[in-house]
Amino acid sequence: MQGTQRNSPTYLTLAEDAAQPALAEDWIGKFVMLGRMAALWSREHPESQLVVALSVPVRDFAAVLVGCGWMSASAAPFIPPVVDVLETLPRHAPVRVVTQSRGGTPSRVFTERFHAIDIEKNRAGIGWGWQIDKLRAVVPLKGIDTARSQLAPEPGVFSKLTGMQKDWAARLCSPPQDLALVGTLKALSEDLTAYIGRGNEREPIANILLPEHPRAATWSTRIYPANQLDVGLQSADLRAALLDGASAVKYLPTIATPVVIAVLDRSVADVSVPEQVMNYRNTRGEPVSLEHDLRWKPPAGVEALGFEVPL
Amino acid sequence: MSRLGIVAARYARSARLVRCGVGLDLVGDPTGARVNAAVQEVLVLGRDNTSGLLDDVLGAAKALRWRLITQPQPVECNPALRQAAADVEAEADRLHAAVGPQMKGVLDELVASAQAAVVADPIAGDVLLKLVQEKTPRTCVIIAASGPAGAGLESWLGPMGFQVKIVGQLIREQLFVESGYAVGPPRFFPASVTNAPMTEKLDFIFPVWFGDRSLQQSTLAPHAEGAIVVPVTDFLTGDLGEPRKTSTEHSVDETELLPQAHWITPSTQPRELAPDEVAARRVLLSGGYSTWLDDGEWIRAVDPSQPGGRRVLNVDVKAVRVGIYLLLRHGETERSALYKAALELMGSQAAAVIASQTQWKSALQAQLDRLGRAGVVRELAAAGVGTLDRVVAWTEPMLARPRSDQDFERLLEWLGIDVYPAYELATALRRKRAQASVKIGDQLEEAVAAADMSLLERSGHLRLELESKGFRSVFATRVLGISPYVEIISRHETRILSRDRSAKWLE
Repeated sequence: MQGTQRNSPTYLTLAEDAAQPALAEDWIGKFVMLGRMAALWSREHPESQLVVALSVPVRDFAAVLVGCGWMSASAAPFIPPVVDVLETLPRHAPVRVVTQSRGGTPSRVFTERFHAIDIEKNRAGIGWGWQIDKLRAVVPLKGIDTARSQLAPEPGVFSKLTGMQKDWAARLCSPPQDLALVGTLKALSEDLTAYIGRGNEREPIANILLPEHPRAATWSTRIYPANQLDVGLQSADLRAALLDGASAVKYLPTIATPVVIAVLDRSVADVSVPEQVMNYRNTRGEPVSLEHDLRWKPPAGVEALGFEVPL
Repeated sequence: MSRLGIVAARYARSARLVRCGVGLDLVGDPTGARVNAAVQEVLVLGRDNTSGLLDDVLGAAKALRWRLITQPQPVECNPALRQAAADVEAEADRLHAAVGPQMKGVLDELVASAQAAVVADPIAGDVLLKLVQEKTPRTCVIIAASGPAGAGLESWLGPMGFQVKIVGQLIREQLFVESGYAVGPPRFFPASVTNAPMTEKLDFIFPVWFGDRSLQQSTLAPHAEGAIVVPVTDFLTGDLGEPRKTSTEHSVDETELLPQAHWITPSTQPRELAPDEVAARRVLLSGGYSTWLDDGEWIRAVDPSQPGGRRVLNVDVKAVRVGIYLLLRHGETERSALYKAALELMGSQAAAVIASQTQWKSALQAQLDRLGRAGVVRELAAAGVGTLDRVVAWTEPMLARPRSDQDFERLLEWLGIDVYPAYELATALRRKRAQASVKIGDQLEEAVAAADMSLLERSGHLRLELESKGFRSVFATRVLGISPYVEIISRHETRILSRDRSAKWLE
């Protein structure tokens, strides 16, 4: 079944990689929308935890699409101009830097230690040393274990569509780090190699979610394997947890982030986790109408249960 | 099909089935109706008899009824049906001298109906054949209700070129065809067959005398927005001519008529647990085994419908149901092997950990001995401990520590034990145990990925061989029945496989 070509240019598309034909279906954009609307609702209801349980025919892609929506609703951080930041840094301060692309050299993101600044000579002593006007953004970090460097992604069709491309360097340099993805590592890794797009253009989902991994110089989303969640989601910075599949969703009652989206796969025969979710909602939750309060209706084939729990 | 194509197809088919619905092909079947009525008569008449005298004849009768529904192949390719009828006759015969005249008459009718059931070919089989012959074998699939039913239907329809699968197989093999013909009523199949279908069209074929025609709702449906509700259309077919004997005086609930285990109420009175004892339930397993499940937090299970690498799950013990495939060992339990592995990972700290754990656990046991369980629970509640139902479990040597940090701290304080270093050591042990558990999980995942899931589904059990020492022989087996009674047994008996023939009518 090749990607269905619908004459609906407003549908977002999904593709497995950079080359394969893209799929345009309404559920793709709807999952993204859910992430966005959940973020907006949460801002207006700071004293509640919003839980949205989704049941889908198969788990694939749902969680990362919701994550893209969440990221698109996050505000760009404000960073002072490069020189202002450099002038206040103590020696040996760890920093994250986003560089300009010039000629053949692409833009990069890296973490390093700062040494000194010489404004007259237009030089910043970070790592090997840089010309100040080649730096797009600099931000101090709390700590650094090793210096890391990577190519800086450039905004694509989705980022431009959602306005994320404004202050893109700031987003890379001081990324929001309030999102967690919980599930089977293998399944999540496969989903994270997919592309989201519109029309003929596409953008890697990994550039939107910026998953944390050992060699990443910058990241936004923490990835937790479900089978290691016994000790709970640790960080206090987390504001949204996307629970992918029963192995993750069964920890729902232990998660305290302001937003939780739980993806349940209806192909799975064992109903004990969906029953657990219903039980949790019936004993601790107050119903939330997704249609009225989040202005979101699930696509065909998807069931959605919204409720809030006091934080 | 690409992975994305598969995902798109699943969404589209789910939406389509909600729009177009499924068909229920209700087959008029006087021969089967006679068996159905006879089984109900025996059941109703024998209700007051709690001695277990009728267990075997009822077991055989329910198995016959089950096979009439799920395996309607022509008699000559249906050894399962012939065997079931013979079993009914044999069991009824055995009882002849032991029962009164009324029961004798009812049993005679049961035997007569069983004999009649293997004379003429089941009508549902005829109906099924006509339906699938309107399609090409490539565009349809016959969906069997169980592994054995699949094997039976396959032996008949396979040579004709048709595909026979059970639902888990359909999903695992990613088989997308236009039409599905499920042999049996909706309640015999996992909910996913209608709520997350692999087929564009779906029909259920089963006798009109089967009482329960309800579709399985998805769990979230009662309160969800966009709830999946699949419409149903009834079609009457087969031999509807003969007037049915409507035995409306006894309308037996379908659950009672399905093969199920018989549990004897335990004779022992509830009492306090001795140090080495736990409360557990007996679980009957495929392959002629049973085990005891205590209330320890989780147990490993296998989901054959998932792709290799994602089949091994950790399931809450309380959530274990009939139909789940558990992973169990002969000999040593995973729990004790994990404990040893965790201690090994602690290296030089192992001795300190053992000493510290023994200290607080024996202090807790001493309090339990002195005040009794109720007394300890009362005092711990007053001290602010939350998970009071786990208090006795915390004395178990292999359990690292209470799950909640707060509860653990308060417990140690109440016991008068220094929170440092007991807390740290127990937490480190738990971490090492989790590490060891992940490693074992990965090895199990590998072994299960290489194993034949079709074989597991067909026979209900499968042995897996693992590389790691201490975990050599692992057994995947389907849960056939769970006792409603909790009994007190020695801690060492939990989760061990033991030979048990009680489930012989359930496979």
